[in-house]
Amino acid sequence: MIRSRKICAVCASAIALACGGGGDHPSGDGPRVAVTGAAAASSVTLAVMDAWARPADSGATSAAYLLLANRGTTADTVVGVVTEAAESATVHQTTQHEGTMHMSAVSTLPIPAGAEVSLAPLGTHVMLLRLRRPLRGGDTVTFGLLLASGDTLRVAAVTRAP
Amino acid sequence: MRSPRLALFLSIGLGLTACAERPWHGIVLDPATPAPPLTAAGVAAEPASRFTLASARGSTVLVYFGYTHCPDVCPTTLADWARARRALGADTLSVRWVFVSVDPTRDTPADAAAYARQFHPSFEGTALTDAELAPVLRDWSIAAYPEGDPRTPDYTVAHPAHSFVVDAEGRLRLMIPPGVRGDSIAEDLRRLR
Repeated sequence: MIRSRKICAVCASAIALACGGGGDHPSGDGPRVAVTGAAAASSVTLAVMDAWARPADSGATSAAYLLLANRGTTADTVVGVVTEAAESATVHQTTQHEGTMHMSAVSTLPIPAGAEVSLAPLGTHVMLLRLRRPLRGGDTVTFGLLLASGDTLRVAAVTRAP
Repeated sequence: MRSPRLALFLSIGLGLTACAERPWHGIVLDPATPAPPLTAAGVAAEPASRFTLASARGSTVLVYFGYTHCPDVCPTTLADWARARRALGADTLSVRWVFVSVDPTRDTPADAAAYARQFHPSFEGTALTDAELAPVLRDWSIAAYPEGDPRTPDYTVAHPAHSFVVDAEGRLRLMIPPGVRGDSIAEDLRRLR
């Protein structure tokens, strides 16, 4: 189950969750990721935009792409991916070296304060391994980006032909 | 046989500047040399999965060496091929689009063919066996090998970045880098003829 505590996930398709929690900070072990508003003066505010995934058959591999925007004043870092849509999911990076393409896992993906980080074809992407169901055009696949801050940023990516 | 890598560097100085009208989108291999042999025997029950470059003479052939579990660069390239295919329209009859898997552990010729057809029904796909792979890598001066533990299901495969374009006379003419858009590929293919 995707853990989605307090996040601000704004998907271009309007499918992703809107800001949760209204900017309030629960006490105790509550999330440190905040949303917009006066109470979020020193917070991380992450937005997800333009999330999409490649079509693929059940059991096959897909990739998802998105734009992460940190509109807050505190950096955060993506440290993992959780999903029910695939047996495994990781952040990966495609690189080219002397005419050969390579892929490698990205264990930490920093999202500096005020920065936008693009996950795009031929670069960084969320790799979805061994899909539990096929992804056809128009389907939505959801996954969570685990953040170093302890929160999970929920992403809803719409499947479309690249 | 000229190494494609060597040709790549030569073409930067020669091929591109020699083009008076406009630059090519792909990397020109100039002078063109006969394409290395490429044979995928396929399986007896699937004659469509057999592919021999020598028998494709008369057609322009695009060749991409990848694998079906490739999540990023292979689908990006084949999607650009599909756009090029659509952009060429009626001009496409003499062009063959061939996806060649270099992942003999996981991909069968049928897997590769089905994968290629997802992008366009006219695309062909085949898979090299272990025995076929080594001479192809040598003759084409390309690299392909598993990265990660090939005993696990999630290993990746390092593979050539470029699509290769062989002309109707069987000469290796272009290397198209990943990320070149479909309409640009179509422009180069029209220009080859």
